[in-house]
This record gives sequence, structure tokens and C-alpha cells, in this order.
Amino acid sequence: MYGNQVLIRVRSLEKHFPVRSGLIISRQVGAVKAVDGITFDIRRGETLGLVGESGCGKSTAGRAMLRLLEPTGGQVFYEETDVTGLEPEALRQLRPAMQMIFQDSAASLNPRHSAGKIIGEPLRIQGEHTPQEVRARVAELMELVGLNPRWTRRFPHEFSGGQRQRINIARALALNPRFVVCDEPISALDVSIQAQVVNLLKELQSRLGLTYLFIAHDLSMVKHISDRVAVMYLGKIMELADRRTLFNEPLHPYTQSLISAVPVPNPKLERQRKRIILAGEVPNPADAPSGCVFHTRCPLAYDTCRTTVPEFREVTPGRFVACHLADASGGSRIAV
Amino acid sequence: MSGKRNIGASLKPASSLKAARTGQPILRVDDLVVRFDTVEGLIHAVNGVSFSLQPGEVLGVVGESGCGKSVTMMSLIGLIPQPPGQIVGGQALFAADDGPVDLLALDRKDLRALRGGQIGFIFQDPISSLNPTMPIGRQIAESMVEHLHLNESEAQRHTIALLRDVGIADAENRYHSYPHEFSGGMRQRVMIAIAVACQPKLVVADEPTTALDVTVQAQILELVRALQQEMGMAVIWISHDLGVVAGLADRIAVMYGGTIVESGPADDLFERPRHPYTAGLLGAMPSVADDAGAEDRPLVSIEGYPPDLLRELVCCPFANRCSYAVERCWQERPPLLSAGRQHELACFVDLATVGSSGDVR
Repeated sequence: MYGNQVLIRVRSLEKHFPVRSGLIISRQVGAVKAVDGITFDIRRGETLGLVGESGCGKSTAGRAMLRLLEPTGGQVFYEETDVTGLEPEALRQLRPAMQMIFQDSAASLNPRHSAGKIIGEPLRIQGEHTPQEVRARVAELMELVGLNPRWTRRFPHEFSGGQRQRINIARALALNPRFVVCDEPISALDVSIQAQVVNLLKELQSRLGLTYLFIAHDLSMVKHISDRVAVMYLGKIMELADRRTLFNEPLHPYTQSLISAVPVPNPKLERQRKRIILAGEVPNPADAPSGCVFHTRCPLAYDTCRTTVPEFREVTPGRFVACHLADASGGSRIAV
Repeated sequence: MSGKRNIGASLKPASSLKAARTGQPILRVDDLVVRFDTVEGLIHAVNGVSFSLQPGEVLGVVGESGCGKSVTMMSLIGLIPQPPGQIVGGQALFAADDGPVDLLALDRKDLRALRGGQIGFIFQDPISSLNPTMPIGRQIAESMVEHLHLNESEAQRHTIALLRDVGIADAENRYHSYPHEFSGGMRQRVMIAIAVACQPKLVVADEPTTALDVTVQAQILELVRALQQEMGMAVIWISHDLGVVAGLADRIAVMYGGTIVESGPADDLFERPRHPYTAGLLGAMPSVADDAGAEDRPLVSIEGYPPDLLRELVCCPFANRCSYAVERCWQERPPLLSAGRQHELACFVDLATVGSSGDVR
């Protein structure tokens, strides 16, 4: 499994933000465990979906993997290279291979730079191309993402949201990356435009052999685009499996409730569907529950869940769950 | 109520046909036109919207940003700023307790008497709609004192019962809490309590679950379904999420370019969309219930972008993105016409006559 087919390995990755207190002498009084020991692989050419509700740490995980945020523990491997241990210069050398597409296309594009300048910037920073080469590559990239190459002189505000996200994608692809973290790339877009961008991402993936980490809160879209899906809750991965298994027979009680809570655009089906309505809301990550972080909302929680952190283990081949009750026979299934 | 006009009599000829079929509607909007005068020019936000709502009916209004769904509903309850907004034309007859009134013709004072009383509303963002300096209990009780003429202690008693009904534990103590002491989902429960406090006949809800996480959204939808069934008020639920309205609405109106392009019973509209835009919207949205085949198919993508509302609509607003468009679509605006059982359609093509309706492009 760790052979040639795995591109990214994440091992016990942690990102804790210190919580300080005290006016004169500032002391650390706690930590927000935004990402608290997550472990998974991403295979070459696949899309791994990372879903969860707001504040679960999914975006932080994506940033820590690319070291846009410095991880506080654990390791990330790109092929055989330990990304977390790289010196700045070596990291810079590796950067072209690992890129990111951000959610807010307006905030992640410099409003004073033209589309051409934004898309060509990574090439200029790398400094290995003549201005003519950069111009040619920019035109090629714009064509690739479905933008008119004549629009290079236009500024971000002259584009619509969907077009701006295409600029974002073109910039991310400028250096021929192998691995792209897509951080909620479609959340800010309208439904009909979302479909355009998702279709584009899929097409680019098969054309360029890209590997994606697709971070989103929209389970329907994640199910559509991903090969495998990981579900996060309060900094931890609750369950990871191929998308069909995960959506058809979710093992973790949180996954089950999450999927049942997503409305389906089909009135007849909606009326028949049995919903698991969880009590309460996601607890404060600065004061996460003991034991299993989900125990405060889990309808199946028992004593062990309150005291012992469940191990993230492979229940059946390729299927990982962090739940004391989970087994192949369905001991963690919530009856509805 | 001096500003209230009794136009029930003059209404009868026009509405008799509809009334005979479906009973007297609680709200009937005719040809609403709203524009905004901005520095960039005149924005044609709502371009002739007509619909009616039966008592106890839940109408889901769907459409993408800028389609005019919020502006339409906000102008009905007098909540668009004027200027820059201008209600250029139209009528909105609301069957108030003491006879029908045209909401668009009411003065501020009379409208305020209806709002929060017979008409409740819920917004997307509860934190900016609640008063941060007033305990939430008093904010709810206030409207009961105002509209139901209860005294302070009666209002407090009712409020505490209501807080319990909307699922707020420890209601006696929470009565005295301020909005910032509540989580997002709890604040939305408070908003809902305010909306239904005076047993309204109509509740207008503008994307009330959009800012919430999906598990909390499920809680709120469950609550609204239960309250609606119990209290029997009519609801206009505005959303961009077809999934949300699918489980809630009896009837759906799809908006595009400041017009209603199609409306009909929810089951019918989802199963057999007849406007190419409705079909496109449904095809663009994956579902967690999709089977293996649907997962691997590319999503239906509606090429192009929504119309520029700085220009007046002279043709079908969807013509430039529609693969079925014929010459006529570019020459005149298709009117919203009855297209069978409670179904209305503004399209010269009608997918029911074309064949496979899910296949736009």
C-alpha cells in the first residue's frame, strides 16, 4: 500500500494553536487542537475528499500539509520526501509540485494585478522563463481553464465569481503541480457555476494526471468528485473509506448522522428518508470533550467513549474508523 | 388603520377564476416590478413577478444569487431601502384579519403593524437581526405586547413556553440571556420564536439555514416543519438549495433574472421540470442519494453566466444560456402561463414537448 501508488502520506499530523492569557506575563493556558493527529494516504491520481462542519479543522489540515501553516507535530511525506522537515530552500524547490486553490476567489487574487500577471506570477517567481515564455504559458493556461486568452489585461473585478475561480485554478496549475489542495473551491459559487468548476477540475485531473485533496462541507459535491472520503470532526478523522462504502454503509455514528442530515433534491425521497437528528452543536474546539470527541452528541455513547480516545483503525481493508463500537457486523449503526 | 384600502371588492372579478379553483389565497402578488437606482445605472432586480399563496401552504422560492428572490420578498414586507430601491409597479394583496390590503400601498405605520404580527419573518443572519443589547426573552415578549396586547407578565409566560417549543432548554433562565450568549443554531431558534410569536398567517424566511452547519440545519428544518404543521401558517421559504426546499415546500417557484420562470407542485417540478433552467439547475446539483451511474456522469453545466440586470429584459432572460432557445426567445419575453395542473411556465419551448427533460445542452 505504501508503494509507488501513494503520493502523499500524512502521519499523526498536528496543528495546535496556543491560547494565551495574562496581561503582562502572557502564559499559555491551553490549546485549540485544530488538527489533532490525523493519518491518511493520498494515492496518485485520486481525489481524496475531506469533509466536516465548520471548525472541524479541515482547512487547517490542508494548509498544514503544504506548510502554509507550520505543523506542531507529525509528518507529511511527498513521495519519499518528509515535507515537514524541509529547510526553507528545499521547501521552495518542492513548492511547484504542491499547489493550492483557495475558496474566496476575490480575496486570493490581488485586485491591482491583471489576470495575466496573476497567472504568470508563479512562473516569474521561479525565474526560469523569459517574458515571452511566460506570456505564452499564461495564454495556454487561460485556454486550459476555459478563459479567453485575450482577457489577460483584465482585472479581477471585471470577472464573475466563476471566472475568478478559473484564474485561481490557472495560477495553481502554472508550475505543473502533481498535487493540488482544493480548499472549498466552489463554496462561494452559485449552483450552475459550481457544476462548471467541478467539471473543469475533473477534466483537468484526467488530462494532467493530478492528485487532489478536495476540502468541502458540501457532502453531495464531495461524493460526486471524490474517490475516497475522510470525515473530520473536532480535529480528528472519524472515518475514511472509498466514497461508495462511506456513503452507502457509514460506520461511524457521526458519518451516519451527517449523511442523513444532508437534504436531497427529491421531494418523494425526502419524505421517506429517516433522519438522525443530533442534539446540540459542535463543541468549542478550545475545550474539546474527553475520550471520543463526538461522545457529547453521539446517541450510542457509553462509559468508555467518555474516557478513552478511540483508535483510528482499519476495520476492513481500506476502511478506517475511530469508534469503539465500530466493527464489520455493524455494532456502531444507529437505529432509526 | 387609515392607510389601509379596502380593495376586496375591486379585486373580485380578476381573482374569481383562481378563487374558484383553489380557494381564497392569503397572498396574491401581481406583476411586481422593483428597480434599484445605483451609480452604475438602473438595476432591474424584479421584472414582473406574479404568484399566489394559499393559507397554510409552503412555497419554496429557489434561484441563484441575483435572481431577485430576496428582493421580491423583502419588498413585500417593506424591507428594501427606498431609495435606492423603487417599487415601480405591482400589487400584493394580503388577506389580513380585517380584510385584504395591498402591502405595497400601505404606509410605514400600517405595515409595521402587520410585520411581526400577522406576518413573521426569519433572516439568514440572526446575529444582525437580533438586538445585541436586549435579552432575547424581552425581544420576543415585546412583539406579543405590541401585537397581541398582552401585559408584561403574560407575555413573559408565553415567551418562556415558546422558547421551550422551539427547543431551547432551561427557558426560564435563557429568557434573560443576550444574543451573543447563544450559538448560531440557537440564535436561529430565537429568530423563529420571534417570527411565530404572534401566530402569524404568513412567515417569510430568507435563507434561514444557509449559514448553519448541516447537522444544525437538519435540526432547524425539523423544527420549522413541526411548527408549520402545528400552527398551520403559510410559509415563503427562500433558498438557493433545492434539497432544502424539496423536503419542506408544497410548491416551488424557480426564479431567474428577476422573473419566475416556472412554478408548480414540488413533486411534479422535481420529477418533470419543464423549463430548461429548472432542468439545468437540478442536473447541476449532485445528491448524496445518487447511485453509482449518476456519480460518474459529469454534472449538467449551464454554460455562460446570468443576465446583466443593468439592461431591461426584452427577451427570455435565459435565452443566452439555453440550448433549446429558438428565435422567438430572443424577440420577446415569454409570459408566465398556466401549463397544466397548478403548474406555471414562462418558456416558449416547454421541455414536456421536447422529450428527455434532464438533458440540457
